[in-house]
Amino acid sequence: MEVTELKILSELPKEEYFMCGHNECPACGAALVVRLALKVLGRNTIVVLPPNAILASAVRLSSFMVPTASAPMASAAALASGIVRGRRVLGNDRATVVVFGGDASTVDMGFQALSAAAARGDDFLYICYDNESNVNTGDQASSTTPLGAVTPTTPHGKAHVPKDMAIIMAEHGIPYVATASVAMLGDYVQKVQKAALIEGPKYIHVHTVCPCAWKIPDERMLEVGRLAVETRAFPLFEVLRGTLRLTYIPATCLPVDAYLGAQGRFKEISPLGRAKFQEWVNDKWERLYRRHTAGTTSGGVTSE
Amino acid sequence: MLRLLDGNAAASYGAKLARTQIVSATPITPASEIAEHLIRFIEAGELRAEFVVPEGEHSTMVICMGASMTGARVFTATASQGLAYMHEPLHFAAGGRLPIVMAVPNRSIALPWCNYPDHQIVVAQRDTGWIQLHCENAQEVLDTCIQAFRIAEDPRVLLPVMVCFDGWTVSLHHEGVDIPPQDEVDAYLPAYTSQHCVLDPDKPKTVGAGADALLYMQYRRQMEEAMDAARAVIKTTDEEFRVRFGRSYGGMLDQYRCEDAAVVLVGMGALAEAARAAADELRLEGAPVGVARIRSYRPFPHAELRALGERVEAIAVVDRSSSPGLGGPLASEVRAVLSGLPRSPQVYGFVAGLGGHEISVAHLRKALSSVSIATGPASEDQWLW
Ligand code: SF4
Repeated sequence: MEVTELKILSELPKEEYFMCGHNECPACGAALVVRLALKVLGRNTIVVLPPNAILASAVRLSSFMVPTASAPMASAAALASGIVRGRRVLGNDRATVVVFGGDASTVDMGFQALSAAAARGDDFLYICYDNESNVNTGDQASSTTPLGAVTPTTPHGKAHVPKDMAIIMAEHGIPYVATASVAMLGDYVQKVQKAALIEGPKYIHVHTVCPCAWKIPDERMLEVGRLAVETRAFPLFEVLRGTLRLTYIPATCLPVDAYLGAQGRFKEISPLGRAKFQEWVNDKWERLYRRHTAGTTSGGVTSE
Repeated sequence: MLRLLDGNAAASYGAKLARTQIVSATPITPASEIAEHLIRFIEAGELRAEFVVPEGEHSTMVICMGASMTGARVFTATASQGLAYMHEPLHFAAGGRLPIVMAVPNRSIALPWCNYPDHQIVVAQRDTGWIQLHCENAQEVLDTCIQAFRIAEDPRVLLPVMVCFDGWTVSLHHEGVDIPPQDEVDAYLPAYTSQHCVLDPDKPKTVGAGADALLYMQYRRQMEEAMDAARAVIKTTDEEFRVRFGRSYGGMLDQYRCEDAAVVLVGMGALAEAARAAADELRLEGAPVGVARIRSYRPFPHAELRALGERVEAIAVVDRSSSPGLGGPLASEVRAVLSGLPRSPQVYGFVAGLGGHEISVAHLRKALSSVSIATGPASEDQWLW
């Protein structure tokens, strides 16, 4: 797996469309998600950004080498729709219209507009980089903040499980939905490549470590992201035209403690909270695994 | 071609003749038929456009913005709650200098729920940076939709335009409306080519990057300058419309029997018709009264009102909205632009016709007459029931 991942990454075009000079933190997962997606999508791309870290940092400057438009927080997908339909009516060639939305502007405020754009069938790619909180405004909780995570608005730890956005999007009946992780970039890149070739609404939900909000040292960014995948706290799968396939099955199932213990935001979590977290992870994995085995006849996936 | 049309159909004919390319609108009473008419035109092959089905007015405006950012000509319609829900992206569209045109049949705002016309919520959008043109009948709605694209797309302006008209009274009331020939409209309104804001992979641009305080202030200043430029553009657009089509609407301020008037009634929308009838009656009785209908609420007709203010003794402003804690917003704005004149007239405010409450000729006679005999300053706005 690791060898393939590196091979996929080394084969990416040299061209950069999200340039250096942006103001993201050195170990920002979101910056990596944007940069690699644009390498895959190439120059014939139009970017839509709801308010987020990528945009907030750009005063008088832009790191984007492709056309970019900022949208209100509640309706980035609507802006994408307008661009797609406007270009079509004018007879312009197909360009990839991609939205990079954080979790707050995707699973919370922007959910209605995204759901409607998906239901409309417009041809756009939505990439949600999920850092599991409103990082831009000070790490407050969002609907994807995990159970037990302490944030300024959940001082005793988040009481409820996160919204399962990828499955919700898949239930819209759109042609392609995937989850991905910033710590498994080869898998992510392949999913973006796949999505780019499909016409219609596509949604990729990327687990994106934010060292600041998750309270980890910068140098552990990829490691913590990887732990989420290995403990099955964040499973990697894709739903292609209704068929779900796990794209990575960890060889050994690590307990979630390894993932939770690595982060400051779970410092307060009780033994009961850990048990609840583990139970949520197990349930979710089981449900996905059942769909995976039902959908793939040959097993399709091997672990490392 | 003369047809029996209501205001909503007139708006859709205006948008069709303007060769709108993208239409998006969320159904809301009393605006829903505007989009439905346009969809019928598209289906019949009479209009080469796409209709984008939104789920709410916030998205509607953002869809319009996206389409406008590609260089398409974009039209939409909403009212009341929908307009209120759209408030945030209204600022976006104006700040982005996107020349979108929107028909707005005026309707009151909840709570309490009320479906009928007033100007409460449309007046509340005055600071968004949208041009607001208020029409009084279906013919003016059709003609103003065509004019609106010329104004919005003028390189000196580049601001979105609302074409407002009273819900029900105008939007669903049938009148004989002349539909101008397409070739004449094409000659009057050339195709839109966006020079300032196009999302094109061959010429990459970032639309809406962050601004520091100075840049922000410069952009806002440019919007003010664009509004100022729009004053002249609105006038010439209306005048050139008259030359080609034989109809015009007074540009910024539509004045009736104001030349020698001592007292003038100022208002917006369909009430102007009743106001003119009231003025005619009073004139027969010897009172020198006139009517000035504010056609352009934004930009506000400063110069026209000041010129009027210098000639008359008193002004009665009839508001179809109220700003709780202040009174009629139109009255307060008229007072503001007249202040500082060497000889400013007394301005009396009247709040009337909220939630579609009737504004009769008798009501407006009462306003004009009470102003004529009033002595001393107006203390507070009166409510006309
Ligand atoms: S705070 Fe988090 S999301 Fe924001 S730039 Fe830094 S690492 Fe990225």
